[in-house]
Amino acid sequence: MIAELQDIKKHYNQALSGRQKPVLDGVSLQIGENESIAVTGPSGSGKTTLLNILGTLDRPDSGTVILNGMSVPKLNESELARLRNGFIGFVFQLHFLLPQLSLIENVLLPLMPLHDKLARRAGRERAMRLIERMGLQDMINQKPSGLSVGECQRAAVVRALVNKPGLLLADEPTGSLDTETAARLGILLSELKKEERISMVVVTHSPELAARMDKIFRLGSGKLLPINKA
Amino acid sequence: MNFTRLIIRDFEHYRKAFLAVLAGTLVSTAVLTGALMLGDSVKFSLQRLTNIRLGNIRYALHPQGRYFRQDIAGDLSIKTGSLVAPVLLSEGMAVNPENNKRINRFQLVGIDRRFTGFWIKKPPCPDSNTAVISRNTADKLGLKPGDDILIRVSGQGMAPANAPFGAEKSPVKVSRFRVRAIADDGEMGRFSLNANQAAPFNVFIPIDKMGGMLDLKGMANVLLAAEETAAIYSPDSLFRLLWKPGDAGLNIHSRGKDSANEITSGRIFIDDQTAAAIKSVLPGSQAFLTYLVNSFSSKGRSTPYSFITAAPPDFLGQDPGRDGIIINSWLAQDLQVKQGDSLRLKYFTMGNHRQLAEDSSVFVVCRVLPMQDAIWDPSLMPAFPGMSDAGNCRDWETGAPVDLKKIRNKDEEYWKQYRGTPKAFISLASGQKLWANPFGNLTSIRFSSGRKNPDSTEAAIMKKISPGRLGLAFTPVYQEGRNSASNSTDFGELFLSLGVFIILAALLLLALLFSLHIRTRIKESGVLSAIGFKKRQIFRILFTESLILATAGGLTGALAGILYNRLMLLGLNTIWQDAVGTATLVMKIRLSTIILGAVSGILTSVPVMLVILYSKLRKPAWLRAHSVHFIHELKEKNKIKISAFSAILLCMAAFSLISYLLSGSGINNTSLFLIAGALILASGSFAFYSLLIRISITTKPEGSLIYHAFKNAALKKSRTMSVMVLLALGIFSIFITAANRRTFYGSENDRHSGTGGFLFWAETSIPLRYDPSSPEGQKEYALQDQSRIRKIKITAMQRLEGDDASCLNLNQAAHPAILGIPSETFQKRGSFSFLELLPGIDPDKPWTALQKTLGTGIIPAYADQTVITWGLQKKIGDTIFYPGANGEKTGLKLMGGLDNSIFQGYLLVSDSLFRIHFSQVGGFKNFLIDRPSSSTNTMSETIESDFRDYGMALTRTSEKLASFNSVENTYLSVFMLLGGLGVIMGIFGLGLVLLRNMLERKNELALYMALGYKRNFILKLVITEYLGILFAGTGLGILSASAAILPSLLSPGFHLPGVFLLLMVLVFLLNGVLWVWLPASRVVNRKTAIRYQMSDD
Repeated sequence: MIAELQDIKKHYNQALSGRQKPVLDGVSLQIGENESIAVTGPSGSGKTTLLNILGTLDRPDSGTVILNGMSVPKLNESELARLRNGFIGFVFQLHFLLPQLSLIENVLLPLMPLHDKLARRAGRERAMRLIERMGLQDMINQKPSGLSVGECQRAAVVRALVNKPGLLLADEPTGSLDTETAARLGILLSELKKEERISMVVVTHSPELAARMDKIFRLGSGKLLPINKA
Repeated sequence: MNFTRLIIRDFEHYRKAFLAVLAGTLVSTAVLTGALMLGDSVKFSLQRLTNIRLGNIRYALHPQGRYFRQDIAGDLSIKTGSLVAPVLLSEGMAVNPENNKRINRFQLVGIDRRFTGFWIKKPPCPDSNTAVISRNTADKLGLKPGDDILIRVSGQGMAPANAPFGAEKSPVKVSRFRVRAIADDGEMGRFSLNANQAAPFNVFIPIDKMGGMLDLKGMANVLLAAEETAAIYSPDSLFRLLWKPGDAGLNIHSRGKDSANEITSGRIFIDDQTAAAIKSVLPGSQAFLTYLVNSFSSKGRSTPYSFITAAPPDFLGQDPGRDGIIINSWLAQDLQVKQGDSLRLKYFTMGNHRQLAEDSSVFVVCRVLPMQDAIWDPSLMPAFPGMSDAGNCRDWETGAPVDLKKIRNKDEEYWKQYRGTPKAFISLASGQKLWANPFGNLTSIRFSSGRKNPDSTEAAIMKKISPGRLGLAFTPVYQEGRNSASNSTDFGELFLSLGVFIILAALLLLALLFSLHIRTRIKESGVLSAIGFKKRQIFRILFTESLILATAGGLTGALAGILYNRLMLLGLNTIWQDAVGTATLVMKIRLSTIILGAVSGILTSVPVMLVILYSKLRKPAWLRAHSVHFIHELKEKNKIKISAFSAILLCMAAFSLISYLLSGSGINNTSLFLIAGALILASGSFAFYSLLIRISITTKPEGSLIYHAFKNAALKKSRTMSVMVLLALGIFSIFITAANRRTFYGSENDRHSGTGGFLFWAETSIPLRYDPSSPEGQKEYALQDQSRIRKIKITAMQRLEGDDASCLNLNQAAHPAILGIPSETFQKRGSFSFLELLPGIDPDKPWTALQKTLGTGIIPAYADQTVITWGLQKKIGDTIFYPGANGEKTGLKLMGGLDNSIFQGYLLVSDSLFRIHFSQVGGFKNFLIDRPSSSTNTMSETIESDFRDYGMALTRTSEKLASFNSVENTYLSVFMLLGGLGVIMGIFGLGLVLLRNMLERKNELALYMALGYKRNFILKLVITEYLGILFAGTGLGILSASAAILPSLLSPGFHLPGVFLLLMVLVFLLNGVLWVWLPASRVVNRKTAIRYQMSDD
């Protein structure tokens, strides 16, 4: 088991009334090695919150998160950062490439916190390979403003994979893409899963993308329920 | 990719935003550094002026009212091997006879060639009948080399002007000189022993010529020394070694019989200390006091104007006792008296204001001695100026009001035959009891040198007298000048406080811009967190960038400070010259100041950035990554409650304070009103904040345009509040500053005002011997017959020369000039007001406190509070010591501080104590003139004309006060200008915030357009939103300032410069509208809106 959520609960204060609204109400999930999971559900159902908790960006009100065999609540800020850097790769709905950096610089950004020179060198080689794999080799010196949205999103995927994470978390990765580009990114993600042998949790509204994952879950009323693939 | 490259990339990408942030640091640092540099520049300029006015002079010996031999300069020069020059220094009046232009107060400097050796650029030396004049004198009088200049000075002589029977007639000496050359600043033109940045009007003439004019041949009253010789500095060493009796005003001469010698004084009377020193060296000496009596009378007969000597018993051969008198046969015959008869003596004693009061005593004739007796010695009469050399009694020119008509032919015969031989003797003790005066109680001391070498006796006497106690001490005048410059008004501090608003505005702008920038980077920090960057690493990146920005801003700002400093100096040398009284301020750039400024700028900016960084990065990573902002209504409601409660509490405190102040006697407590104003400002800010929160959580489905405008403003509460508070603070400061401008508006005739209710302030360059309001003065100056000025009341004051301690002098004053003021008159009139009095002084009778001595050598004094605080850098209760007439120290204890008066620059003591402690001062130089205000112009002309020979210049007291006020008003103008710039900067910040908001709200604006709203409506919406902030800030500023200046507003004499303030507020508002309209109109436009709508960025 590469990651596990046990009875996760999370609530937010409602904006105007101030009342507490449960978002995740005892969610449990197990993610196996090289397993891909799609999480679907209506807007506001807590999909991004689930992903943030899984990615250690947010903390649950209760419940346990175990990543790579480590219990997340026991980790301090520094250990969490290290975990995110080495074990988790994030892909957001909007690419979130830093506008000041070129494509290659954005992609290599996760190597910066690493102190191990060998690891950094390996990361650079891997980045170049992935860039070629994504067909971005001709635009490595371009800034995000000079790339299409699809190219940016592919670069964001490379950035997420550059440290060879065990778990890739993608939040609506095709949400801002047109159908054709979204389809291509979906194919790429499933191929990468096989090639890189990574686990993957993808939050998506797209049935096509969800269908490419090994398992599909639906989040609603704070509960995560499995959906049988047709 | 590494840390450095990431930062470089950030700088490349965010260069515009970074430049804006850098500009904020730059401005605050520039103002800060510029102010510090201004302090350096002013100090440097004053020190430079010290070099210019003193050249290579390092030490000066300048006793007041004493003269010494010019020859001692040569002796000192030989002994020390350094340049020592004698100088005669006096004040006078200079006239260009061609155009009648005059300078009523100039410095006449009698010099010889040695004096010119003090200047590197050797100036021309005046010779024979020529004068060298300073450049400003030449400009003022319109003179050039070859022209003639008329000089009027007071004839002085060795005798103190106030001494009884000093010469009176024709005190003014007039001489014509040909201008040989004009001396520039570097060529002694600015020579002055007083530390003052204002250039004196100087006329240099040959010292011998001047000595002749002043009856001081071969004498000097100033010694200047070039080298820093420690021996010179100690008056008891070298000077004491070389000085001779003539330097102490003594004359030791042989009487030519019985090896008898006599010591007399060129000052008529031998002062007590010198007399005591002589007696200790010559224990067997005989002391005499010879005095002029107005009459001897007995049995209806009277002998006028005769001399009488108080002598010791060993000289008289008997002790006449307390009431006994020995008379000569001439007097006995004249009065038909014999032994045992009573004799009435009438004589003058020293009264107030040189008024010789006639007194009388009765003695019993104990012996009549024939004229052939040896004791009837004409040499017992001292050298009374105007009398000793007179051929006839009727030619006497004595300072005493002698009625020459009373002199009979037989008196003239006596004078011709016996000269000033005394007609009677009384005991020394009786004489000293009757005729004691501050100048001494002896006129001669006789001693027999026996077998002793007269020179050794002379040396022993001179060794016994301390030159220092006679005021004959060198002072390190150059070092004192440098110290005065170093301790001068700290312009660095002053301009730092004047520029504080602009610094605050720049920092606030920096905070706004940096906050806006960090807001754009916050999502990036979330992404970096997601990638695995530790918070510390993200903070390090952003902090390093901030530090680089602050450092760059600090360094460039420090350099820009040079420009700011130059601008401020330009202002001070030109439009703000009233504040500094000179146009000679030059720039001084010190590396240490630039570094200090840069470091201060960095240290000021970094915390601002740190606080913003900390507050933004405090949010959890996922909030940052998704730029999510929650509004927690409960928390917001609590905030409303807290801010509303604070607003109400502060408002109640403010109004309670105001009510208390208005109901009691606190109307004059401006500080508490200021606090009340500040409370209202704080209360209004809280109320506005509370309103913003309320609006932000309120929902009105069909709200008005104003509602929507405020809703938008409420969305960015901190930005809105920053701009509103900055505006309010700016307006508050400017209104308070404007209200504090010192003006009169009809209050100048009020006796409690700074004019004391007097109409004119007058000064003469040549002192008047008599108080013009006294009968003697009226007679002397022929005032009693002039109906034109009969109604005027002239209050005469004596002045001990000293430093100018007014705000017109930037140097620190160590010993300000002292005025002997008629404290009783001031008390009766209720003139002037006090800001502070020592405990125990009756506030209803403050002037009477000046009349009591406070122990040995300590007398009470008042001064303007500003002089005490700034000019002297002292406080009430402190004591300042001055050398007295006879070398003793007199301490002036500061008993209270006057409220802004015409006496700025002076210490005030009562005239009676002044005469006792500063008896060396002769005559009156300062006057206050009062009368019904009608025809004041003709009155001033008449008075000036009547006292033209004395160089009298009249100034309206209101004008004099206005000249002091102009200094303060100039500073206030600088503050208002810099404050105004600060507000404009704040409004500029508002524009930047607006532009930023517009960009952030592009989709919202596009939506409005898509929904069919007209461009004008959207513009109106946006402009309403920001005008609301502008008006709120302006309104709050005006309201709180009105409370703060309530005492002024309620004062009937107060006049608020409403037009000025209105204009300033209008400028702010127009500037605000411009900065609101420009970005709004740029953003709210169809194409832009569509483009924004289409854009994903």
